[in-house]
Amino acid sequence: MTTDSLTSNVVLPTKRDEAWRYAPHRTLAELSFGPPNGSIASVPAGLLDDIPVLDGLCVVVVNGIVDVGRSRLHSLVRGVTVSSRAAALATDRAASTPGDETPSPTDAYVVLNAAYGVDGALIEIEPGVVLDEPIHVVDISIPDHLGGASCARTHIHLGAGSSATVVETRISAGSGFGGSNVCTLVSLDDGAELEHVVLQDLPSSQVHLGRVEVDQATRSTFRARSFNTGGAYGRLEYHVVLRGPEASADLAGLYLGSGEQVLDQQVTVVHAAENCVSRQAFRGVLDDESTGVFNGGIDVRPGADGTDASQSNDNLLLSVRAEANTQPRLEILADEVSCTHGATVGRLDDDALYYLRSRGVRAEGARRLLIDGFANQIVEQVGAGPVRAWISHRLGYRDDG
Amino acid sequence: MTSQSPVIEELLDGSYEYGFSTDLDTDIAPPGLNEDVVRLISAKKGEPEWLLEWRLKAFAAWQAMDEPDWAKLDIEPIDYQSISYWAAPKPKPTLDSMDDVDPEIREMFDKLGIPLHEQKMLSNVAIDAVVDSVSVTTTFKATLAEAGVIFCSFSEAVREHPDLVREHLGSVVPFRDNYFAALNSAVFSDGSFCYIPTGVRCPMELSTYFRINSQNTGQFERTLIVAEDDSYVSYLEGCTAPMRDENQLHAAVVELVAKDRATIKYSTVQNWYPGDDNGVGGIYNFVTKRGRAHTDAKISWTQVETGSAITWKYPSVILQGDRSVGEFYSVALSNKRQQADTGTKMVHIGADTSSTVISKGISAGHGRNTYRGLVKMLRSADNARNYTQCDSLLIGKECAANTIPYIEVKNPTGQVEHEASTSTVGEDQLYYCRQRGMTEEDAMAMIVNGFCREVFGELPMEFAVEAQRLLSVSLEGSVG
Repeated sequence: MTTDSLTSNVVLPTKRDEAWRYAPHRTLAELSFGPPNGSIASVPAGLLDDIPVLDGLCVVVVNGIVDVGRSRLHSLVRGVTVSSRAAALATDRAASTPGDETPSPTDAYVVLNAAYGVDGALIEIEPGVVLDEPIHVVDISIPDHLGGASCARTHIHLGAGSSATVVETRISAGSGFGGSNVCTLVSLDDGAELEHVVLQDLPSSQVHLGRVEVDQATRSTFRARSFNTGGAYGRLEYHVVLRGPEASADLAGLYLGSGEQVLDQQVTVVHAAENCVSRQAFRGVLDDESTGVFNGGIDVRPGADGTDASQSNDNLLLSVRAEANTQPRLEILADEVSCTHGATVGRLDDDALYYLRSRGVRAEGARRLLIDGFANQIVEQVGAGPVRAWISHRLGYRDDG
Repeated sequence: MTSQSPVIEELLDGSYEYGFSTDLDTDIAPPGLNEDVVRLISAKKGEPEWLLEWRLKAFAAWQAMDEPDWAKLDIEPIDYQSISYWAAPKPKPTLDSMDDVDPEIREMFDKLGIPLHEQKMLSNVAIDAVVDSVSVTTTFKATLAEAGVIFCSFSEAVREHPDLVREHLGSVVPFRDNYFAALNSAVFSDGSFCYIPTGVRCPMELSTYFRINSQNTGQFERTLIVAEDDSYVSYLEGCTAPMRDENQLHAAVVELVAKDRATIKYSTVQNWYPGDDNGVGGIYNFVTKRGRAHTDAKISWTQVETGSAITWKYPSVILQGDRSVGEFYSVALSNKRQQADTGTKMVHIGADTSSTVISKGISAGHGRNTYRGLVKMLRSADNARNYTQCDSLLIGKECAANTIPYIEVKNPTGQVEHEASTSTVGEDQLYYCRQRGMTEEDAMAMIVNGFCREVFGELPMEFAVEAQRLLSVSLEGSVG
């Protein structure tokens, strides 16, 4: 299928689409999509010098194209392949990478991503390999001021019994209008274990559309930790299918909104096999006129007996004009299940503030302490130590700025 | 997993005991819907010009609307032109007293267990009985009039109290509100009207009993309750229909106005014909219910939904006045091929408003039960509180339970808590009870009743007994 035939029928979602109910549709309509055109060479010197990168393996993607020069692709561990998807496709190595099937045409941005996301990180871990150091994928969009949005696709495949940590950071070099649309396709073979961290920190003039699709085989484990803090509209979508029995998915996320940001989390966990466990825990801290959205679904398919699923969403509103919209959905077509969900929206506890102040903590300090305590419950769930420290630093850095 | 026990299968097979139909001499309009039909209904009822105009505006609005498709319901397309929009038992020349009620109608209500003879009434309940499109009688009118309470059919209210009707009709549910509300506004035939004057505590429970009798008709009734300052009223509503092979449409609108410090308690036991085991027939129940609570007022909805093939119903409260209170207690059962998409909307506008939502969904057989709710706190709603609990109980392997709550908070002083759980009645629970000498049916009834207890506790006594009985009948043969 040609790119044009794929995208010519794209109809952008509207307010009437449940999953896009709170999105700023006017801003989204101004984004333009196309094949990657900017060559990396045209980036002004120095612009990419300050990319925050973790030590170890890393793939730097600039406007949808892997910048091999800035990436560290060679692993000392056998059975670990980290490369550019486009380069791998060219050498036929990635012929068998999963996730290249035509996406469901229901979501316009998924279709656009499939059409224009020609490159991105390719991560392959062979069966039985346990990789301790995290792999960092840094997606950088350089705005063209015309609303051009870059598309990239990350493929992660873990062989049976292997384990790895992948961190994806989405940032921008420049502050003009634009954005990025990144799809991550994850497939976990039997018993594989992945910790997947996303940090979205685009400038508040831009839009980020992130989608993570996960396919899990028997007894595999997927841990997602998402930090959604940037963008005029920052959207992180998870679609997890527990296809094999006894698989488990544990998703936790934090969204920190200020200004007029809209931060949108769309989560669906599908229980398609018996005895799977899933957990969703998302927290929002919303200041100024920001809006937080959580739309989380637990889908229990017929026959998925023994399902154990839980979901929680808690929101802190810090300002009179902040807004929280939460929709914790359950759809259950099996019996023998145990599903719970809960949602709360509230403000900082007056009693707790008073308690701290009466013990000599200044008002602002007390506020900070309570907010950090609330947010930290997500940050501390990041398993890999260096990544956790790095995330804390990034979030702290952001708060100071 | 072992297969479902035979006792369970048997229990789920309960029959519908109100499925008889009565041969009444009925005046039916030909099927079809156009402006002339709207005019015909209005003319049949001798309505004033303003009401006809209102109906026509609603009809025009309805024509421009699309049928909603967002609910989790599989509905055969409804042919609105194949329904007759007017069916009324032919009236006796005049109806001076209860004894003038057509004996056949009286017999029908006796069979339903609803005595229309005041002297036969067991309890202190006044009843407005609605058959197909019209109200046939209202009991205890004189007693109520003494207290200043107006309780009559909607048609009578239009004739006798036009100013009250005109002031409040459409004030809570405007005709543009949604597709089915617009349809109802255009073709509504009758219903109940109830007015409680300032400072009056209504001396008895008010009740409307709805009965669809004729074939190929829809029932479109409207209920309007106005409670003036400092008044109190408790209102009950019950419904049944004969067993028929085709689906019948019921699209009602209920509007409640609770003025300052007034309390309205509205209870429903809905037992429309649910269709047979294969999903043939049954009532399509599309209902818009909404109340507006002024300062310090309280509106409480309690519903037990056991009937209908399709239930699409979201009793709501607009918490407009400061310190107003909204409550929603619901038990929805879907057995066989029944589908229910129901819940509530609590819109907090005033400061210090609070709302409580307790929803219990039970799915059995091939039933599908969806809780869909909205809790919205606007910027003006300082210190608003909401507590929501929605629990689902699954009985059997083929049923489904969905929970779709929307929570939208625009005020940081608002506090919202939402909890939900889904569980099953397991073989082990039943086994435990049986070990201790209970029959499987008793054990099932006990578990289900325990599950629903918080809601039944909110029902007036007679209704609570009825609801428990109904639930065990509807679940008969379904233990799982």
